[in-house]
Amino acid sequence: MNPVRTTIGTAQPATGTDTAAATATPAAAAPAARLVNVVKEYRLRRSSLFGRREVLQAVGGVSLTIARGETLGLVGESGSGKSTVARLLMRLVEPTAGTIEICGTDVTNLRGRALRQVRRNAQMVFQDPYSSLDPLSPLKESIGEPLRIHRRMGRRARADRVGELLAQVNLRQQYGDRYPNELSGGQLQRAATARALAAGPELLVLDEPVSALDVSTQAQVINLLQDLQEELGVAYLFIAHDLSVVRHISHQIAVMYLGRIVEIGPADQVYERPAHPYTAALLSAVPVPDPVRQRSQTKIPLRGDIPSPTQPPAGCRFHTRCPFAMEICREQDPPPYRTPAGVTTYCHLHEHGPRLAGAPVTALRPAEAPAHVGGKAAGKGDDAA
Amino acid sequence: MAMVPLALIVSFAVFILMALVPGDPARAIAGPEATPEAITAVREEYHLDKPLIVQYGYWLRDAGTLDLGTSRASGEPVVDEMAERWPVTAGLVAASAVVAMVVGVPLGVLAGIRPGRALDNSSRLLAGIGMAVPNFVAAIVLIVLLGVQTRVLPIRGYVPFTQSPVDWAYHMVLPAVTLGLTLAAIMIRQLRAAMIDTLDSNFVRAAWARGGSPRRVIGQHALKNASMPALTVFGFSIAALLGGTVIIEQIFSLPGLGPFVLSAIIGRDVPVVQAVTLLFVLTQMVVALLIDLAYGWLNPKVRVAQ
Amino acid sequence: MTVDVSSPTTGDGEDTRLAGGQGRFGRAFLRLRRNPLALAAFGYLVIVGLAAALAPVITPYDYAEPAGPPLAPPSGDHWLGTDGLGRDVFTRLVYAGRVSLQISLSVVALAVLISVPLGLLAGYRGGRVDYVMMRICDAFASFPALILMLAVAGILGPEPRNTVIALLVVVLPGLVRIIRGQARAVRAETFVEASRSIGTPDWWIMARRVLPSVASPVIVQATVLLGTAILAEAGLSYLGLGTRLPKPSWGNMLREAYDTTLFSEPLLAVFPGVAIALTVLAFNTLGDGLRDAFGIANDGPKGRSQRRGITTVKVADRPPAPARAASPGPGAAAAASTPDSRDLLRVEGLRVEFDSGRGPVTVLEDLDLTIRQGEVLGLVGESGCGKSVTALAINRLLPSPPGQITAGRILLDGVDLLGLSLRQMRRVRGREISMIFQDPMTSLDPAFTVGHHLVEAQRNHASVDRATARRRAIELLDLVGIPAAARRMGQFPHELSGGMRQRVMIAAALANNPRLLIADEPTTALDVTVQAQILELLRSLQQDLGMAMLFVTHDLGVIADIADRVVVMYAGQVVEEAGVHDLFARPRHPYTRGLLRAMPSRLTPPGERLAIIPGTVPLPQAFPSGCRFASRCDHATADCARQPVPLLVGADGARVRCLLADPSADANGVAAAPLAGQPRLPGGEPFQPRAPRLTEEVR
Repeated sequence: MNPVRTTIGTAQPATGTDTAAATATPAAAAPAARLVNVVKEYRLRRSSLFGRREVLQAVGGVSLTIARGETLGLVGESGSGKSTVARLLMRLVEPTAGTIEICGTDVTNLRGRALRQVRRNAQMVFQDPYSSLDPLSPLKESIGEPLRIHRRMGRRARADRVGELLAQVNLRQQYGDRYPNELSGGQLQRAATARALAAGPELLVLDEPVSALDVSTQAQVINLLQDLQEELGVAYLFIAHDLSVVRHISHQIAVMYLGRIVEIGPADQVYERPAHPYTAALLSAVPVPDPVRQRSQTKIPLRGDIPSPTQPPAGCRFHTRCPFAMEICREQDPPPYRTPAGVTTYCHLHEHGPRLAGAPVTALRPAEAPAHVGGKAAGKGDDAA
Repeated sequence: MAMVPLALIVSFAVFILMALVPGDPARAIAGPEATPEAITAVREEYHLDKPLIVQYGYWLRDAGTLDLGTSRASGEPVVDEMAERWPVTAGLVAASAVVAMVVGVPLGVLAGIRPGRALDNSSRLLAGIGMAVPNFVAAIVLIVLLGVQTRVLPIRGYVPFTQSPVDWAYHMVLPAVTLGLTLAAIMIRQLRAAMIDTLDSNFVRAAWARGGSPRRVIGQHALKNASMPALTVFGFSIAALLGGTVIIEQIFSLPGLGPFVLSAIIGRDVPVVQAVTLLFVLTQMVVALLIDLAYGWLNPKVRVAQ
Repeated sequence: MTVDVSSPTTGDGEDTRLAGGQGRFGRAFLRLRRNPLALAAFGYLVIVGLAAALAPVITPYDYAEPAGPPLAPPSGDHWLGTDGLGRDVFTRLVYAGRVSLQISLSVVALAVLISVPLGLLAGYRGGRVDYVMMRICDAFASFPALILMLAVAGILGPEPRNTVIALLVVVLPGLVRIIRGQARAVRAETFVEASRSIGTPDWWIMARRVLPSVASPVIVQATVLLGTAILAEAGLSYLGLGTRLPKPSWGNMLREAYDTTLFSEPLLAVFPGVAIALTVLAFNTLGDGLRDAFGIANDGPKGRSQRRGITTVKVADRPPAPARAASPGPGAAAAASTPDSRDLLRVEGLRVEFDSGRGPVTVLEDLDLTIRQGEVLGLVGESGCGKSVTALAINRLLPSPPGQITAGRILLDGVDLLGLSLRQMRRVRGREISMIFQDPMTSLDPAFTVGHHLVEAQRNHASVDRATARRRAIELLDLVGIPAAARRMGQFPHELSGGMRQRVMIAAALANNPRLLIADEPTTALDVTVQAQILELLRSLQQDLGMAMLFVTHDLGVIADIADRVVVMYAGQVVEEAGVHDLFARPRHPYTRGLLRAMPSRLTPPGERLAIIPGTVPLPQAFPSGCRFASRCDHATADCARQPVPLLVGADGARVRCLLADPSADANGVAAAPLAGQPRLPGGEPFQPRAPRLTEEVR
């Protein structure tokens, strides 16, 4: 249904002649980015002199592929590790294990100059537009930074290119001389996008790029991102907690919970026929701006909050909050299950208990759920800690 | 626990002071008329022929048994003389801390509650003066005004606390006020800023929204939270008070550690300088520890982390 | 999650956005020029500096030789008289200043040169480098500075160079620590991470991103350190370990006077004392001025502080409380005409102004709204529209200054809350009207337990004993769905998750069975699954307890979930009000419709462009006099911008502030085209985004 989708795996002409310079381009057909079993652990400070040194597993073995020119939406709540995935991909934090590839180049162990060279292929836009641009520099200086670093462009050439970039993100030329505190959030986010595009990347990592924006400006940025993808063929890793926005912009969606991907697949499948209870719960929790539908929608209630990543539950990490949890969920980590529609999910429900076998979780009625849900306790919290 | 490495670094730094002294320490100890044999003897006795780190080891071992050497000026054990003078200095520091609290806390808090009012402006003026006027200048001004012109307060002399607490206090007023002035100024500024910040905070707004009275909202919620940073600063300032005693005791002729260490510095009497510095540093560290404990009471987050 | 970043609760952050493109030094300079105290200090320092530099020119005498009779009083020849040896005091004072300034300038210059690279490295790099450097700084900090300085100076001997070294040893660790702290803070900023993600080398980031950001605190700190160095040098010289006689310094002049002529000629001690104090005071004052000018410190609300805990009301001629006399605006006239016995709270013609430092700015104008008993009124709008200001103003919780209520009435049971004292208002807050806030972490006092908050909420209003209050508190925790309630009582806020904290806030708000609960973005800081729980909880509590609720949010989805009636705000005004089903089915104001269309929904085909509202929300300083939405509106005509648009009331009680809308019309005119979740209008597409409109024609 979307023409871009047919280009999975095929080469994109990219932005120009510059890609060859940075890497040996092992394969022009290589995906824009690939993570294989990436783990990130943080060792926390000892709680006391004799205490155990706790390990916080922010990302626990994530694999995903972002095809050229496509958008992978990454969804999850706080503590799910989605921002850490973005930073791992950008090599802003060091992976504990796993492999990270950008445009076919293994960047897992690159350092220093070589790493910086590769970075031009993947650029990032951050959540908070108000702090992601240096408040002490005029916009043109911030937007021109990649040109200076990667292209060694002179002042004149840089000014021209910054002008083009500003036009590309629909900002007036005069804004180049303004400082960040003189612009609104939406304008700043467009300027940040211009900066990310400056080096001509194959991949933009967008970490909640519209979450800090008001609805009316949010739409401007989303449209811009879609226009740019059509024009430049750049791939996106689009991170958000708002499922409707993710669904609108993404070709593929990955849902994360407590450092793991629980479901990944084509956007419409994941959105319309969620194969994992967490995805279904997340979808039903997002309030819809339509009182009739919002009030009639069956909700899948989740108990309590996300458990602490320092002590993730054994078995399926979601079992402490899952309304459909079974005995096996407490004991065994669910293996991947591939549904006929091409969605990969990690949930025992497909092969055990009701044996959904790829059918959406929404097919389960609340009655089939174990007894501990329902009644007034629907909204009842329960700390897993 | 983090204090052990700190104590080692500090004691080494104190020890190193000796190495900075120009000239041959053995010759200095043995005296100007000593024979080369005598100097060699001294060198061996004081382990001055060993590497610096070994000398440090000896010194540390002796310090552990409260043997901090003998004063080169008087030939007496340093510890004895320190034990005699320490109560004077400790009393002065405690009195100054009290002055700083009594003046600084109410003014700082009230100024922070109503910034822009007359009380705020006058406290800020007082704080400005307290920060700018060195304590020896303040001491001289007070001596001239109160001691010489009006003779309301004694300007020199000391009565031990154990002998007569009233006389002790009487003689301590001027030294304590001059020494405590700077710290009072710091406390005013700290508390004022902390009160302003805290009164801006969401939990104070929420406390008003529950219908809290000013006594409860300001006196309980705001004050407890605002006192945390002020307490930290207060702890750090004990070192400054200890240092300040050197000048103040000299001016008011108090028989504390100040004049003792001052003459030792001028006379390059290294064991005395080392011993007094070590005592001051350890005092500061003990105070810091006490402050940490108090902090844990004020701030439960810290308590859990410990 | 949209945070009210630009909501005008602080006057200051706003006006910088309007100020034209000058750098921070330009702005700081302008602000410094308006600070007479700092200017005076600067002037004094310039004079002292010039005098020191030009000492041989301005005084004919030698500082070491007698110039007249000893102890001569001040005269034309000897402006400040002569000292015990007949030397000219003024001359010695000037030369002493030269010595003091030379030494302190060298100390501070060296300190900055050494500590900036060290501090940047420790702060930016972190890790081991940082650890080692900080432990060394700790060690130095536990030394009494004066003793350390004396020891170094005493051992090295009284040379100016050694004085500089001694002072350096004392000031360096503190400065390194400050710069390191600043660098660390800047490093945590997103823009530094952005530079790293670009692939910019670390040295470049440190030099071009971190260094400029630490520059202003370093300048402030260096200014204050100059004063500290003057003080320290004077102390050393006073003790005979700094500048040595006969070369004068302020410290040794003081010592000389103290030793010789203190009782006969106290003036001789006063002159150097005053010189030291004034110079240090000047450096400190200038430092404070710079700190303000760079906007580093929070120096408290500007202007004279009013009473804490209640918003100031300055209404020109407020009618006596229960009377309903002249209505403040056209909208109020319409609203006031339909009083109802079910009305719990009526806000009429409310105006709120903020003092921006450049005169008052009206952030809320002519606001009317009515909350009926037991209903949920949704108040929705984007950041800066005034919805949170409204919520706070009702309970008179806006801080004054900068906030001030300058018109209107807030009637609770016919009693105007704007006429109440703090004491009277306290009986309303938490008992009649309770509040919960956006950020449950910062809204609970970190120093007190959960139980303390709940007990306090009861004891503010009733003289219950602690045991009873505790029992009720546990009941409340149970009511809001907190498991193991008794155990939670002794926990501190930081031990709870975000959702739990918000439940505690709700429990405290319900403690006295309020008739109205004002919820100011209560779920914005929470994850969606937790938000769903809290919404569910609030809905069931509201129904069970029969209380009314004013629910403030930016999220139309949340409004659709919880509200009975909706008020839409834009740029400090109500632009539309309707029942929730009516509003979503037939939005009348172009802004409301724009918002609804701008959100992607299940029905928006993927890949399709969203409808947009061009431009941005105007700032309160720049609210247009006509329709405030006109510049972003696709239907605006010349009439729209001409004059203020009144709020029109329809037969069904719906209200809309649009010239083109007929509030009572159903499917009539521009504003009444039904939307009903359809992404596009049938037929023509008036809201289709047009690419050129994306550029900010507004600005």
